Amino acid sequence: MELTHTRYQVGQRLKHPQFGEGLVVEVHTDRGREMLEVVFGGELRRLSAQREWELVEGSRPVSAAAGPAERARAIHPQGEKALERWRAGDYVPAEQFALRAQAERWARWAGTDRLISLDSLRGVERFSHQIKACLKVTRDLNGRAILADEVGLGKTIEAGIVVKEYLLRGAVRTVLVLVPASLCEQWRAELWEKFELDFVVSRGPAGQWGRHPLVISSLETARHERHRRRVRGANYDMVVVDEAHRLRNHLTLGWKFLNDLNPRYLLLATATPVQNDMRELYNLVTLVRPGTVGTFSQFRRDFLSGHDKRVPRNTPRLRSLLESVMIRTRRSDTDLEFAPRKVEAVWVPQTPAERLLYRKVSDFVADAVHGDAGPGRPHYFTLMVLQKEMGSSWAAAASTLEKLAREPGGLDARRLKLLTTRAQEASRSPSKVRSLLKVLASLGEEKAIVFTQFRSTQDVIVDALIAAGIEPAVFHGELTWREKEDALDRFRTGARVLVSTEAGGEGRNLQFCRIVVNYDLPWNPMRVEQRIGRVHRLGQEHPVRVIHLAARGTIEAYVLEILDRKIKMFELVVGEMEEILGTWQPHGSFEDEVFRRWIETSDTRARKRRFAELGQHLVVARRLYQKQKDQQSWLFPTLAEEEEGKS
Amino acid sequence: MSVIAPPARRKRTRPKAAPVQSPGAPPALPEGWREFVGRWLESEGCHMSPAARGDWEVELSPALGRRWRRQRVRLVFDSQRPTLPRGAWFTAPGSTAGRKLLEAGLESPVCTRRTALVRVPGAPENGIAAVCRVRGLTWGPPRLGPVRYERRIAFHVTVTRWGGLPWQEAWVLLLDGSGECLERTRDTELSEVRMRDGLYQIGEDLPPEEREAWIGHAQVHFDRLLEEREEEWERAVARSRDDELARLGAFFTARIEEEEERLRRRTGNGEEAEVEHGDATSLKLEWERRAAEVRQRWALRTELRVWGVSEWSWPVAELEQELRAGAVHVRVQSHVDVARGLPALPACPSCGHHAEMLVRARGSVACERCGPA
Repeated sequence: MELTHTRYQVGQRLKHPQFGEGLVVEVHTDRGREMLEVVFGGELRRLSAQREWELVEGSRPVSAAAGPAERARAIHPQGEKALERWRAGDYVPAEQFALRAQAERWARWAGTDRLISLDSLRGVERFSHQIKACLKVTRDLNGRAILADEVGLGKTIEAGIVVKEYLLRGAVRTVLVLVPASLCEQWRAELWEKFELDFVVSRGPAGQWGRHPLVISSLETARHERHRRRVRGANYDMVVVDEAHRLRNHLTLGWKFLNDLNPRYLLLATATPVQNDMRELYNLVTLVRPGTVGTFSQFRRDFLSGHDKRVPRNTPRLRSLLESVMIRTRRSDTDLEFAPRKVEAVWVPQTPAERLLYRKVSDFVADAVHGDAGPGRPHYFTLMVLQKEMGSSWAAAASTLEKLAREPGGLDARRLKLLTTRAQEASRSPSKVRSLLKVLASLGEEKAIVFTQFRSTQDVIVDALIAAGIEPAVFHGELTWREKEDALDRFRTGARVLVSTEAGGEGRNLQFCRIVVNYDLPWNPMRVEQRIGRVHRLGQEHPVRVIHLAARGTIEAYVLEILDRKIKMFELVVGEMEEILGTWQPHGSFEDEVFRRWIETSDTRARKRRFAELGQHLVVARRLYQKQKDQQSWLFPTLAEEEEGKS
Repeated sequence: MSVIAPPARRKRTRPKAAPVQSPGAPPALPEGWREFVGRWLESEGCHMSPAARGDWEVELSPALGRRWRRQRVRLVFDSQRPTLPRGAWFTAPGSTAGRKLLEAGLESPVCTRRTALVRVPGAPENGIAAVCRVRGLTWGPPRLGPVRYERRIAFHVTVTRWGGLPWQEAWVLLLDGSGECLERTRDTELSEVRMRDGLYQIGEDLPPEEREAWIGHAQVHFDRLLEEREEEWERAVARSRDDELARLGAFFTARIEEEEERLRRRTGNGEEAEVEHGDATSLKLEWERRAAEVRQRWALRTELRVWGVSEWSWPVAELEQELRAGAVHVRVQSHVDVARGLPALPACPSCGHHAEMLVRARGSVACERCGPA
C-alpha cells in the first residue's frame, strides 16, 4: 500500500454529501492522481483525494474513527409525566414517596465494580474467582473474552453470570448459546434453574432463530447451510460458545461461521485453548479480539519458535497480550479444597445359575445386535438397555425380556421366553441384594446413598431393605416436587439410607452424607461422577467413600477396571474426566464404545484384550490432557498473577 | 399482617441439619429486600401470610391480580433452594419475580410535600467559625435569628449511561426559589435530613408560572448534569474504545498489506495455506464492519428519567457574628441551613463574595481575594 502525503490518511473518517460517513481504508496514487478508497455502509468507493472532503471531527489515522464519542441524549417520558403530576398538584404521602425511592434503589444498575446479577442467582455457590472473572469480563474486556479456567472451576456459571448481567443492564436483548448437541438440554435446564433465563433449544428445520430472544443450539446446527443465514439475520447481541476448543481451527466451518457472525459480545469457554499448535490459540484470540496478537504472520514472527509448533517464544510478552482477552484461573489459585475420596469395589459372588444366565443373555444380546440390520436398527437401544439392566438387577432385566418376548419384532421369541423365565427365577433371590445388605450392615449407623439406574431395581432394593428392618428414603424422577423435598428431608433428618435413581437431586446438597453405594455402575463415567458429586462437593468435611457393587466377568467389571485401575478416574477432580473423554473421543460415546467391544465377541480372553486396548487409549488421552494442562499453566496468564502484578 | 418483620416460620418439629460451611456458600438475599417487598405489597393492598420455609403466600390486590393474571402467589426468598413449589416466585432484586415487582413499583412517577425538621442546635456552637477561618481576628459569640421556612424543590432523577457496561446513577437536585442548585446528592433521597409529611408554614399553592420557572431552571441543571456525566465517561472509558479501534485499524492495515504483497509475489509455497486469505476488498469491507460494531458497542447514550418531585418547606435562619481585632469590630452575616445545622460561607464585608477565610486589612476585614497578599 503506497501512502502519499495528502491530508487524508488510512483510518480517518470523512463525510460525503451523498453516501454519509465513511472509513478511509486506502490512500494511493493511480496514474499520477491521488485516490482514496472509502467504505460507506458496506460499500467500497473510490474518491479523488484532490477534493476537500469533510473529515469527521477528531478523526485520527489508523484508529479508525476514534473520534468524539457518538453521543445521544434522551429524556425518559416518565419525566414529563412526573412534571405533569407536579403541575396538577397530584401529591402522595411522604411515606409512599420514600417507598418509591427504595424501589429506585433496588432497581438501579450498580456501577461497574459490582455485579447486580449476583443477587438474583438461586442455588449457585459463589466463589471469589468466579466473581473476579466476571467483573473482568464486564468491566475490562467489555464482554469479549476467552474463559479458560481449569476444569471444574465453573466456567458455565461464569458465562451465566455475565449473560445475566448484560441482560439485567439492558445491554443485551438477544443471546445465542452454542454448545455440543448432547449438552443443549443440560445448559437449558441450568440456565433456567440457576439464572432464571428462559432459553429455548433450537431444533427442527425452522429453528428458533429470531423468534425467541434466548436460544441454545449446537454449533453444527447453527452453522448448517439451512440455518446460517437466518442465524445471521437474527443479529444476536451476545454469543456464548461452550467447549470452544472446537473453534481452534480457522479452516473449519464453525470458525468461519462465528467470525462472520461477529456479535457485539462474545464469550468462548474452554479449558484447553491450545492442543497441538499455537496457531489454535491465535485463531481463538482473533475471533474474540482481532489484532490482539497481530496478523498471523506477525504472530508467527514474534511468538513462534521455528522447530515446535506447540512451543511459543517471547512468552512474557505473549502472556501480557493474552491478559486483554483471556481469563484463566488454576485450581491452585483458589481456596477450594475437596475432602479425599476412597473407592472400594465389592465383588458380588454370583450363583452358578446367575453366571450362566448372564452369559446366555449377553450372547442373546450380541446375536440380536448383529442380526439387527433393519433400518435405524430398531432394537439396538433396547438391547443395550437390557445389557445394562443385567448389571443392575434380574428384576429389571426380566421386565425388559418379558416385553420383548411379548412383541419380539423379529427377534428369537422362543429364546426370549426361556430367558424371561430364568431371569424371573433368578430375581427371587438375587446375590447382589445380599451383598448390599452386608455392605450396609458394615457401615453401622452411617448414612449412605444407594444409586441405581432403574426404577425396577430401586423397588427390589427398597423391598429388601424394608424386609431387613431398614426404612429407606426413596427418591426418583416420578415424584412430585413436594414428595422429593419430603424424601430428602427424611434422609437428612431420620432415614439411614436413601435409595435414589439417576435423578438423585442434581444440584442438591447432600454433603451431610459421605457414603455413596453404586448398586449398578453406569457405563458413562460422567454419570458416575455426577453421582459421587452429590456428596463429594465443596463443604464436605469428611473423607468420601464410594462403594461399587459388581460381579466379576460382567461388563461393569471391565468398565470399573478401566475407570479405576487404568485411568484412575476417582483421583481426578470434577470435570477432568470429561476433558479426557473429549481428548480421546474421536467418534461415538464411551457407552457405545463399551457396548460395541462387549458384543464383538463372547470369548473372555478376546474381550479382555479389547477392553485393555480401550483402557490404553484412555491412558494416552489422560497423558495428553496432563501435558496440555502443564503447557497451559505456564503459557496463560492467570487472574491471581495479574492481581499480584498490579499490587 | 405487619411485614416489617418477616412472617414467623412454621414451627419445626424435626431437628435441624448441621449447617455446612463452604467458601462459596450463596449469601442470603441483600438486607432490607424482604422488608421492602413486604411494605410495597402492603401498600398496594395485598394480603400476606407466612408459609413453610419462610415463604410468603400473597393474596394479590385486584389491580396487581389483573396485571399478573393471578390471584395468589407464593414468594420464595431462599436463594439456596434448588427447586421451587409449582407456580412459586423466587423473589430477589434481579430475579424475574423481583423485576416484575420493581417494574410495577417504578411505573408511575410521584410527587410529594415534605418539611425538613429543624436540627438542634440549629447552628454550630462556634457559629460561622465552623466554616470560615480567620487570621489576626477573633470571632465574637454567634447570634442566631428566628427560623423561617422557605420553599425548595427537589427533582429526583435516574441517569443511565450506555457505552461499555451500562450503569445508572440516582441524583437529587435541590433548587431554591431563584433557580440556583443548592445541592446535588448522588442518591435517591437527600442525605442527613429528618423530615415529616406536608409543608410547614407554607400555605399557598405555587402559582403555575412559578412552577414553570422552576421546571425551566431544572432543565438547565439536568443538561449540566448530563454534560458532566458524559465528560466523566469520556475520561474513564473512551480510552478503551480508542485502543480497540486503533488495534483493529493496525490489524486490518497489516492484513491488507500482507494480502497485496502476497498477490504481488504470487508464491505457492507450503506456508501460504497457513496465512488467512481474503482479497483486499473484502478485508476493507470487514474492517469497516468491525469498526462500526466497535463504535456501536462503545457509543455513549445517556438518558435522564425524572421519577419524583418533592416540594420542601425548609428551615433557614440568619446568623450574625462579630469579628474583633483591637478597635476593629465588624458584623458578619451568614444563612444557616437549620435542617442540617450548617451555616453557609459568609459574605466578605469588603467585596461581598463568599469567603472561606477572612483577614484583617488596613483597619477593616477582607477575604483572601480582596485583602492584602
